[in-house]
Amino acid sequence: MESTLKKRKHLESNFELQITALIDTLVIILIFLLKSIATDTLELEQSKGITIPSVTNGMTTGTGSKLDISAEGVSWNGQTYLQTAEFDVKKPLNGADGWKALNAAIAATVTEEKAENKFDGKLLLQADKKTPLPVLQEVLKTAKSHGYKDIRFVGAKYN
Amino acid sequence: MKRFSDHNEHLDTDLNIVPIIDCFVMLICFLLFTAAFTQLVFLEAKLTSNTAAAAVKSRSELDQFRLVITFEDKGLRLATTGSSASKLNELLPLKEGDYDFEGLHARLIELKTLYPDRYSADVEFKNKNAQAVDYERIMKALDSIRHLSDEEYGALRVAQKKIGNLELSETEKGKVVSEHLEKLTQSLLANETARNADLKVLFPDIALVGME
Repeated sequence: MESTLKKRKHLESNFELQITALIDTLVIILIFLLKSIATDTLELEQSKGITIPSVTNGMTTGTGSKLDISAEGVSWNGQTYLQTAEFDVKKPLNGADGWKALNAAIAATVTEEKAENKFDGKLLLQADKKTPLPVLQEVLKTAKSHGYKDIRFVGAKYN
Repeated sequence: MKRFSDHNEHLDTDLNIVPIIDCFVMLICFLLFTAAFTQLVFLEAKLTSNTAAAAVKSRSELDQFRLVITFEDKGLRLATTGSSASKLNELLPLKEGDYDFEGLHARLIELKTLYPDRYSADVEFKNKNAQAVDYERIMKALDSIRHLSDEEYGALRVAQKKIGNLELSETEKGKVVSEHLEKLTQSLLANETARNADLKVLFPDIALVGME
């Protein structure tokens, strides 16, 4: 009994935790994370209710007025003006007022930017990947009528 | 003298690395929360009216070379016209019920090899079933037309180094360069305009015709 206790005591006193391997692993994870962090990204937040399509490459620096299209509606600079059900822009839930409000909002932005000599006709379009062509055509026709001709189609690039 | 002898004494001390491990763990947690594994990017295209002449391109440029990619019900049509282009009118049929963007990209690499100093392309929509085209397919088309993928560009850089007899790194030595990318590299390097431009781009000056 006495010899067993002595042995246990001896073992405990010599015990050392080998944390070198742990530190190595942590350093590797740290390097991996630092490498995978995107240093340059577009100054744009992904809008709610929009699934953005993936692309292999694209530009990350650039600005423009923000136009978002989801199944639920069309937003201009973060504010929803046209409320729709399943992309139906022909019959918006808020009626003709929706289109009027969207037009007025775009016109107001253009007037403001032109007054400050900032207007460059560039538009950051963020649409759900399922947005049908006729819907895009309808919305872009409105944007173009206000002078937006350079469309920046936003996509997601996986690092 | 006493001081010297004090310094020479062996100190049996253990380095306390627990705080640094704590810092590492906290840093990793922070990075995991804030890391952006997906990045928002954009592909630019111009909106033009029914004719490409309305685009910001000179008439003479369009007379020399015009590349048009058309969305049709049966697939993607690839056409080239112009005095300095051999006439092409080819349909890339639907592949498993969807547009063949990989095939389009491969053909565009071949076209870029033939016309290394041309940068513009028009995209048209002539499909009767308008629902067949959506934002994702437009993005895929733009992505295929605009540039090479990162992997292809890596292979192109290897081919470029091989042509210039430059030393390759160990990773580059193991990289297989496809024949069409090798031809593209040779063509780009042989052309003065293309040589001094971004080698990653194919036809970045895209005009969407009849989109609005």
